[in-house]
Amino acid sequence: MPVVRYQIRDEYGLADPELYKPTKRDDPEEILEGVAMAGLVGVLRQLGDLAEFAAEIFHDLHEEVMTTAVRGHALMLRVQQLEAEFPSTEKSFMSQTNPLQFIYNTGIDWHPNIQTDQNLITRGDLPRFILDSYEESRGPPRLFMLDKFDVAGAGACLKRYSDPSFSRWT
Amino acid sequence: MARAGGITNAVNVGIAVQADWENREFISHISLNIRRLFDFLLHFEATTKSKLASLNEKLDTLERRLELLEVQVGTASDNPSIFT
Repeated sequence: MPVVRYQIRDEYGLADPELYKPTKRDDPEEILEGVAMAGLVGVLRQLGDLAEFAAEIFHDLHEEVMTTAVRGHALMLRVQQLEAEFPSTEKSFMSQTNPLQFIYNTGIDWHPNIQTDQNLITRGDLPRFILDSYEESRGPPRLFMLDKFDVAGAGACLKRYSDPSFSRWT
Repeated sequence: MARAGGITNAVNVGIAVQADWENREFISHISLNIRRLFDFLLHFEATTKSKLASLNEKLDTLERRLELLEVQVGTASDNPSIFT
């Protein structure tokens, strides 16, 4: 299903129809001039839509770039701290003359704690153009209007027609 | 006279129609370039987000490696007995 990323409206539809509704209906020149003016007004509104769209795109990109920059800066600080701590450890390491003692140690009792139990594929928040399609879509059917014909009473139709086991063959 | 006036009127209408065609061509040319700008913005956004995603992926790898290095250096600093 194609998703509308941004709807570019027609330039003649963006203008006010009053521009080409002249008082003298037998003056075609006036009508044609009004249509031309309507087209130019529509072009100006298209430029406004373009600026709005560009602002939205660059705002989102700016947020992502800032997030990435903060992560990179935090990594840089951690690397600098590690560089400061490493010489003392390296000195102890290089002072040893017998390399066999490094072979028979138990290692480090540590395991990374990476929790990826949600949002593996999708992001937590939806883009605006998808949220717009959710808002423009129709709501669920008004099944409660059929409850008066059902012997089970209120809420019976919604329960019956939204139950996944209803369509299962027995 | 009436016929001359009618002919003049038809000529004026013809000129107006021709001018209208030129105006429409001009407006459609501008609108086409505006749509090209929209297309450029979409392409730019897709490219930039793709590059940011690959950069974030590399940062993820670096963070994991750095965490391991920090644990190793921290263990070596806290337990100097492993070197004796």
